[in-house]
Amino acid sequence: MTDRAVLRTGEFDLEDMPASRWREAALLVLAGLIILVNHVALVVARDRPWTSLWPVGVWAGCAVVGHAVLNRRLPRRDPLLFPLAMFLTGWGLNLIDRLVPSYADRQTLWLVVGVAALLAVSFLPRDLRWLSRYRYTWLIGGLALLGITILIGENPSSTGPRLWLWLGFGRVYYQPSELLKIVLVVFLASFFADHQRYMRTDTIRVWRWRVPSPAFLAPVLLMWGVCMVVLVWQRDLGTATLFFVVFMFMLYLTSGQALLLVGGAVLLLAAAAAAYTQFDVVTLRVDVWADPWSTADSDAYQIVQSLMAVAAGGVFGQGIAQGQPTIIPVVHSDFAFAAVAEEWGLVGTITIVATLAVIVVRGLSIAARTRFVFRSLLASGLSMMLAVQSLLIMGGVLRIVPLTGVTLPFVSYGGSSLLTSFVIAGLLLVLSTDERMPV
Amino acid sequence: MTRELKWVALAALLCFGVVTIGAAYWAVVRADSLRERSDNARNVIAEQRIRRGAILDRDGEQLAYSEVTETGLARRVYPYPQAAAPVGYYSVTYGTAGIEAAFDADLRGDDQASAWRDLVDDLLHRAPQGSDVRSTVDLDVQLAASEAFGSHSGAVVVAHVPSGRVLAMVSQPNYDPNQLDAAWETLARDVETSPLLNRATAGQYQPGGALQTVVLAAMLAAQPDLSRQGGYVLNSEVPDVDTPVRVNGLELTCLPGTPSRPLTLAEAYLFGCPAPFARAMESGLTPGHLWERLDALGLLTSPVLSGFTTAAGSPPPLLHDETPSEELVAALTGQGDLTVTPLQMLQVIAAIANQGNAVPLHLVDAVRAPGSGEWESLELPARRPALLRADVASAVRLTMLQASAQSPYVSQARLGDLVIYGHSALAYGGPDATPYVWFAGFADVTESDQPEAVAVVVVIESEDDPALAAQVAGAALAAAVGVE
Repeated sequence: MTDRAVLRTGEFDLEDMPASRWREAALLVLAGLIILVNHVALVVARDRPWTSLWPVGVWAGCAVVGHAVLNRRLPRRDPLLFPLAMFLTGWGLNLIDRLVPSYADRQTLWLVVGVAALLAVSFLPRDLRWLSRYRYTWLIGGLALLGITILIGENPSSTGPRLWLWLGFGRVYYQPSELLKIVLVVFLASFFADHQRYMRTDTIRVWRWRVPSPAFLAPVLLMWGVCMVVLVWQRDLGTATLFFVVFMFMLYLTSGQALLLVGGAVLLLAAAAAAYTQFDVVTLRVDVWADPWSTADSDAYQIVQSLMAVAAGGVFGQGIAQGQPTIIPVVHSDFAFAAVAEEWGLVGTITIVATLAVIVVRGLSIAARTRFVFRSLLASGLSMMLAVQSLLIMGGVLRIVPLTGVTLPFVSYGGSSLLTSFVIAGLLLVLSTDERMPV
Repeated sequence: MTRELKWVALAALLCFGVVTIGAAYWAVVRADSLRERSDNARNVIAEQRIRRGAILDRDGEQLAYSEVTETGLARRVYPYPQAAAPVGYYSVTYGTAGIEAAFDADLRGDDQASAWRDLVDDLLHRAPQGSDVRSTVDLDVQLAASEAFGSHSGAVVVAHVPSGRVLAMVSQPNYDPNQLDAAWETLARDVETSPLLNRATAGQYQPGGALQTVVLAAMLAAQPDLSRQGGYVLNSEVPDVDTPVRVNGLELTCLPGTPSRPLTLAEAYLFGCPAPFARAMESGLTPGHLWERLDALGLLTSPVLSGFTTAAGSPPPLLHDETPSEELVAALTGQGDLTVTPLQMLQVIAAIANQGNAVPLHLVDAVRAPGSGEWESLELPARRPALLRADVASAVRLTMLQASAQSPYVSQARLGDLVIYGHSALAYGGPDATPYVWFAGFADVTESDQPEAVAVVVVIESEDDPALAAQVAGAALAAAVGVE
């Protein structure tokens, strides 16, 4: 039946389509082999029973079902996004089963939930107008969740920022700021798409430059306000920075005014400077980034241990379960990238960086191909969300920027994060199919 | 918008590039300095993964071995804490001592495998294997000496002559090497008793009366024709033999229990009377001779214990004809600047037992590579210099034999029909003149034409009963001879 669907859509890339589908299948098989080899090595190194290979089986099931369902629902999708996301998630499973075996079950379960969510997105109306039409509903819902978290949020490990909501059963928590990532991008893409024409034309002159009229300052300030709320009430430096940077890029894409980026950077630095003087947690993070060596045994312990893990990995790494990344506190979430560096070496880190870069570039090229401003802004915003989040945590682990506690998309432990990443991947897949196709 | 998207994509790729460069910077450029940091726990873990070789006694009993825990790390076990003086300790935090230190490279397995093998092992993360080390310690002798020593402070060292195998080495107060890490703060801070100091090899003791053996040898060596005059020198009565000798504010006398009758030089030696020795310069001995003898017997230099670093006290000022007589008297009575270690004394006694020839003292005699059943013997110094003339050694030996018959103290070292050669002495050490008791002697165990003996030196701190040291020596010798 899928073949007939291909024939029906005749005018587009008739020859290309089966080839791209085979490409996705081939990439999934390749990813599966790498993940299997890693897990076999883990089982051998740790003397575990062979039955402990089951997460790889679950992964393979998700890959097969995902590939089959996507073939039916989105036959003209981007062939790289799904296998690359699955590759990173499978690698993350290897890593979590190696670092904290007791969390492997839960992460595998979240993989199933994530893939299910991705496929669910593919079953929703493909023109995505429903997202745009109810943008205020989404935004208010998202902000309300954030407000509830500020009021009654908890931390599953009972210390640290209270960013989670208990879902009412077991030890299952959800982090609403993860959902807010998608909601904010949807809202902004919709808002900017409606106002793009004015933002491009309604400009004023400031000395030699043309800048959008001050009327557009309102959304900037609103967004900045949301970020400040996240920062002040939740001390969540990473998410606040992430929201703001993605927002600034979307504003730039809409208006075409590079000067806005400069203004945004100034605002960001101002907020950072204020936070540095006001909040101990920010002061600590920045001081530790500027000079980790003098407090290597106390405040900077985590980052110095992270750098030692990277050094221990060298070019080719120690091999799975052969290094000592567990010396780094909470290595499975914030420092997953350092664990990859120790056990898979520079080869592994470059692979992760390249995979994420390809996902982001594919997302941006989807944005470039579409003719609809909303879809374009949505695709680029979601891609930038993944890009900035990856860069913040990888840069933090490598002491390029101050450390912010965000997760590495697809790889780190954490259900909320994995679910969000898969929903983003699902939306990008939907956006990658041609919108002129009748639904 | 396509133009802007291109810029954004370019910026994102640039940032991903910076991350890659950052990873390469820490993983390659700065890797070595990070790996070498002292707070890098990986170094400790790598150290703990080493399957250190075992240390065995001469019969193959394990004195130290490494046990692999569930985590894959090795833990060092010492089944006989009484053997801590020769075996020493191994601690990731606090380093090594004893055989653990002297044969560290063998026990760790450094430089055994080829570079290729090292590379393969490293790639496969195989835990490094060290060689086993066979010590000359005889566990029976070690335990007997340790038990006989009780809770006293001081040292015992026992060696086989002429092989030079050290059979036992006790240093007290002791420590349990199994509990070293937990007890380190107390052990290291205890300057009063210094439990970590190996008193047998490094304890600096005032020789006191124990130096009489050396002075006697020097007096005999100064005789032009010992074969004719030796008996005369040793067996003629000495005038004023029990006169106390004053030196550095101390009044030195014969040992308690000395009969109040005229004594010969040999009897003065066996009763520990200082007067004849303090007056040695009057009977032909010169300061130069004495210095030469101290030097020849190795009391001015660190003794050789193969593979070990041993200690000697700072050498006293050179004795010569112009040396003031008080200093000469102090030197002759062992209460001067010279201090000796029990191992140095053992070297002297072993030479006397060995016809004046030095014995190659050693504590380890073979090493066995991992996976190999073959013990590879260690080379010992080939030179066995004569420390004493054979006739001088023989005369001293006879005097020591006489002591075991007559001295109320030396005779306490005799157990059963064991023939003992010995000398008991008192010394006063430190600013508050704490008394020490010494015993130095040997048991002749010659069975065929090749002379054999077991030599022993005992020093007990803060005691003034020489019988205590003789009893410890007797127990150690009995255990050793039972085996020999």
